[in-house]
Amino acid sequence: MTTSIQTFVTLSAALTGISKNVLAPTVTNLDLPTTYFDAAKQKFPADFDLLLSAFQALIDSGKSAEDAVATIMENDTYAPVAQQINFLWYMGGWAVVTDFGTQTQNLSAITYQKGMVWQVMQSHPMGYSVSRYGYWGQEPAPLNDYIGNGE
Amino acid sequence: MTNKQYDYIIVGSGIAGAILANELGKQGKEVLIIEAGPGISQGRNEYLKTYFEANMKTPCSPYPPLITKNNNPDTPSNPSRQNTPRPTIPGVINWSDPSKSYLTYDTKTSRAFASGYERIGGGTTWHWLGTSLRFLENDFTMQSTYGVEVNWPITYNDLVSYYARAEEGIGVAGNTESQEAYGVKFPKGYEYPMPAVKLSMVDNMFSSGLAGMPPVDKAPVFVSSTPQGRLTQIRQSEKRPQCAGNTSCIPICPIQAKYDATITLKEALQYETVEIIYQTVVTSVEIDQTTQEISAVNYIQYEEKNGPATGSGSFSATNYILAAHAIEIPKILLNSPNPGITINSKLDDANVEKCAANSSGLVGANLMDHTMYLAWGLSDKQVFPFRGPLSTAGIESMRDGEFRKERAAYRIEIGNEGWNWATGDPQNTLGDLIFGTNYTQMNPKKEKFFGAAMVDKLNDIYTRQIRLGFLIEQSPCPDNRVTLSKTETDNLGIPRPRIQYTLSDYTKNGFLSAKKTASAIFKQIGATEYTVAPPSTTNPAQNGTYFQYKNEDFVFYGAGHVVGTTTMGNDPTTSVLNSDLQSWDHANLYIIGSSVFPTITTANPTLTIAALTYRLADHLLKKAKA
Ligand SMILES: Cc1cc2nc3c(=O)[nH]c(=O)nc-3n(C[C@H](O)[C@H](O)[C@H](O)COP(=O)(O)OP(=O)(O)OC[C@H]3O[C@@H](n4cnc5c(N)ncnc54)[C@H](O)[C@@H]3O)c2cc1C
Ligand code: SF4
Repeated sequence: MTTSIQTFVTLSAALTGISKNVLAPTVTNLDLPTTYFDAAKQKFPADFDLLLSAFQALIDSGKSAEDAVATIMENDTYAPVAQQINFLWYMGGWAVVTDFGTQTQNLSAITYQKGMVWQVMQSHPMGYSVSRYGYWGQEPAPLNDYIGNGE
Repeated sequence: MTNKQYDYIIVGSGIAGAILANELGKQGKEVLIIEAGPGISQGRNEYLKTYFEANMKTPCSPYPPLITKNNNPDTPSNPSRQNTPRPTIPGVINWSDPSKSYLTYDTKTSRAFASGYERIGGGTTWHWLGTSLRFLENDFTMQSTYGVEVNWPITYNDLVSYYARAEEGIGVAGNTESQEAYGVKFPKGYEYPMPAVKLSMVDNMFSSGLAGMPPVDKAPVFVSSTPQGRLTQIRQSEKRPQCAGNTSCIPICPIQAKYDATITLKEALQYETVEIIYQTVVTSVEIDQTTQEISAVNYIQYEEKNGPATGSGSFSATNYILAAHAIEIPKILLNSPNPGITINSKLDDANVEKCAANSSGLVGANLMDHTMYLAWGLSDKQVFPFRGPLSTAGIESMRDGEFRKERAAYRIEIGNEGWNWATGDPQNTLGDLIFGTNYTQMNPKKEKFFGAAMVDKLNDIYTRQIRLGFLIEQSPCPDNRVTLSKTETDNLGIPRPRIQYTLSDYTKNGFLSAKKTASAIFKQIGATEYTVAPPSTTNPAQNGTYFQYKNEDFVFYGAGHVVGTTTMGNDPTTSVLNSDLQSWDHANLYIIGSSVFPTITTANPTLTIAALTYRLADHLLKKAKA
């Protein structure tokens, strides 16, 4: 991982509330952090870099990632970009906010399936489950099994 | 192929067409199935990928022709450029614009028809849910029992053995006791072919929460497991697995644990005497003016999805069966001139089209759907929705009773998909929390959330979301009908449907009752209700499905149950078909599908379509022997 992608993952974990090892698992042939990093850079050519360096500067000044994100969210330039990145991790696509709810512009079939929204509800993407018959009659595994425990 | 004389031509390869072809093929009959859409070989993986990629994950989203241009929900495809257009959700939202909606309307007098279907090999069961309830005895005798609507020309007893065949064919998983508890009658010792599907945590919460609830609006309220066409055991003969709970039965089951008609169609096509021709759209039937028998069906063919017509012609057979579903069937008949017809309609003569099967003037009339009332809320405990089949139980105890003299009855489907249907979740609650909006009412202070606080809030909301869907009976009304548009056509030049559609007071009284019942149920189980029916001006997308009744605002949804338009009956002046599903006007023309239902009843239609199809097959085979 390059430094900027590392920064992006640290930012993303604080933003989404989901552990780094869930967002960027080491054993996978799918590199979502890079996919989303590239997509964000393309969508916000100027502001994305500014956001990342502002976040890194806050970390370098000794702030925790959580506090750094809280500061970012107070900033009118960075907050809209950070919100979109947050939504991207959860839904696998960009948000289009309308008067009648939020639409999603999917990046791909895979990113849809990898959305964190399914993790946070302790389930699986609609249309793709690895569970067995009848699992729906029982409680799912605890939330931390889905979103990690902060690592 | 062209000059061959078949025993039977079947138009449409959905569940009705497929079962009929299979039964006739078994007896060595020469059958040709004509199917407007693409074949079933490309199929599931391609459709599944399209679904995953779709930005608007509606029932039609996986299937061709695509419902939007460039996957953009704001740019619905233009039906006049498609060879097999059909009604879609973007079409309902844009119902007043014929370049976006396949169905056309006089928007001053009509409401939108909110349901759709597919025009591909295998038909609409690709995206059905699989709910396979039987009708009740009184569903067949509404006029004699309650003095409303009409009677069917057949009774529950006429269908009882065919229901068993249909349940076997579909592979219905169910439990007879839970059905008997509210009035379904089975022959002694009858068992469903598969054990019932395991209830969800949502179902169990409703079931225990409603125990001991007093009747609401004169009907008892309790939960029954739903008989459904999804496998609870492996079916080796069909190489199909047990349901794994992928939670996408609508629009597509990734592993074919859910029954769809391609299973029966493949079986039928194993018989040497059964042929199918795809991408061939039937436009009309040809009528011999001396005998009034059908002499041919006319068709137009195309090679590329939305490409130009590449051929046209006609096919002939001894008997013709239209199984193209309830909006396409009247389209074919209305497009088939019959100057020699003797009109004996009870309607105003000026309205009667001189076309095939229309001596009663009722081709296209009595269009119905289960108009749906949705209610949603948050349970007081975690029930973990978005897991398992989309629905596994319902409240069937309110389907019948004396109250049917005054108002429409309903069944209540319990959803396992949180607020997916009700508010378009998960994306809308997420959007509200991230962007500080309040579309779902989950963020009244319009705060902006992120990090651990957002996780806690999302988990708390999603795991408690519950939804009820009331399938409300719509009364038959001859003015609710399909005619042909005089101006709009599809890409092949075939006239598109024009729809006139309103809800009767009988049905609207069902909505009032549904609203009351929903609130009583949520109160009983300790849930907080979040149902909203915004005034029509608030959300233009609901403009076509909004109505006000007795000072209450309502939005109705479609159930996908397209019923009526070629009803069967005992009187040729008030029905299109006799009880054998034979046209009163043309001895060798039959129709099968939910278009033949005289009333919509209180259950989902497809099991009864299948039962009627087995009955029709018996009739045709008996007639052939005679
Ligand atoms: C979202 C949704 C959920 C549903 N869930 C349920 C459920 O849970 N339970 C239930 O009972 N029902 C359900 N239904 C209804 C069910 O899908 C239909 O009742 C059933 O599929 C109808 O079967 P059919 O064979 O009559 O018609 P279809 O399956 O629609 O088949 C008609 C065939 O005719 C072909 N065709 C059309 N026009 C022409 C033409 N001009 N020439 C040649 N071929 C033509 C079509 O391409 C199609 O293949 C649901 C429907 C929807 C939309
Ligand atoms: S829950 Fe999943 S596996 Fe079961 S029928 Fe529905 S889509 Fe198929």
